[in-house]
Amino acid sequence: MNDLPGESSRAADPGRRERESEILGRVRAGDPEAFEYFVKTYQRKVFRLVYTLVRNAAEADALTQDIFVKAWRAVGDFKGEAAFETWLNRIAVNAVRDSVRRRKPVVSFADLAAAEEVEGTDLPRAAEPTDGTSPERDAQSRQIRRRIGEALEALSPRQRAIFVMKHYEERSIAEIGAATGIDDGTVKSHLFRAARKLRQKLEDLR
Amino acid sequence: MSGRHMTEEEIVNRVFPVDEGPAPIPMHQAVCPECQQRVTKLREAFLLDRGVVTGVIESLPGDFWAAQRRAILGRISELAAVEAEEKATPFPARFTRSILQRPALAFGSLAAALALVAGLTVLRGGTESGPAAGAATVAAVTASEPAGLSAADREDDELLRSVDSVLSSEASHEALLPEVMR
Repeated sequence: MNDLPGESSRAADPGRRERESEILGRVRAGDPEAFEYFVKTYQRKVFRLVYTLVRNAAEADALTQDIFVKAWRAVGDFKGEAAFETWLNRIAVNAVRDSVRRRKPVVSFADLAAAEEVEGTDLPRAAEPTDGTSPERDAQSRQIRRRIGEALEALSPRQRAIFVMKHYEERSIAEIGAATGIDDGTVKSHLFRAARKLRQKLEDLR
Repeated sequence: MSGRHMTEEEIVNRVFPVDEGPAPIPMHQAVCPECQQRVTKLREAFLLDRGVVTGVIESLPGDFWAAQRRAILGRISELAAVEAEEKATPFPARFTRSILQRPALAFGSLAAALALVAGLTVLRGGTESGPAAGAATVAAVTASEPAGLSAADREDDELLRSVDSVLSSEASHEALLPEVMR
């Protein structure tokens, strides 16, 4: 069957599709090690998406693991109508949405400055950008980031996912639609509303 | 300067365009320092945040990704082993093992099943009294029927009884029939 509309050229690469189809066959036949290909290929992309949404490295790590385990368990249901990456993105978006709904994040989404260094993990502290001009300017940067974090946190999980995929991940409308299971018009409507809410929250930055 | 200042929505659309591809720069923004500053502030804030996210991902060492992979594949291997074992184990053994592994659950289930059976038995006992009482009522009505019958009904009954008696004495009349008809 053809790709879902709007899948990116990277996802719709026919060589990759064939290769992945063959590897999926091995996974379905009971070779769990064959699944390593998918983990190696997509773990960074999945982690990046999840991290941008939850802003906590330890939580993003745990969720990324869950997403791949869910994908492995559901691989029998994957019909190959979409690219594996699109299907995996959908699992990721749903997993993050469920996680956000189920519980408050371990560390506040808005508390960006301290969130990246997590005790008991090997995760590094986030690279805190400074332009080196002055401590005041650095403090202002941190303040702006915290405000953006708060503004994103105020969006619904779906709106946040759509906004992040568009503006942080630079995915196309159609890719976002495929990953969230909604049509292009609704994606645009969510994007517009999310941006407006964000602007309202950042009103005083002008 | 050309026209009015940009509205909030125009600023939002400028920084977070919904449509793909570059949006044209409004004439007013090109010449108005105030609107330029508003757009720039929002865009800088967003780009700063996006840069930090990218920075976090890029600063993660190779060991982190390797450890994450090991954790994922380890969980998958464990699940695959459990599934393979369940497929290989015949049903009765699987059932017995599950009882042995979770005795509290097994006894709880048994107690629940017994309670259900008891409940159903009581319930059925109650509903069965209905038809029995109904049958008794029908019998009583049947017994008292002759008293309430009309003259026509009584004549019909007598006719039926006489037919019955003829049929029951048919064997004795058989001897009167011609031989070819017997």
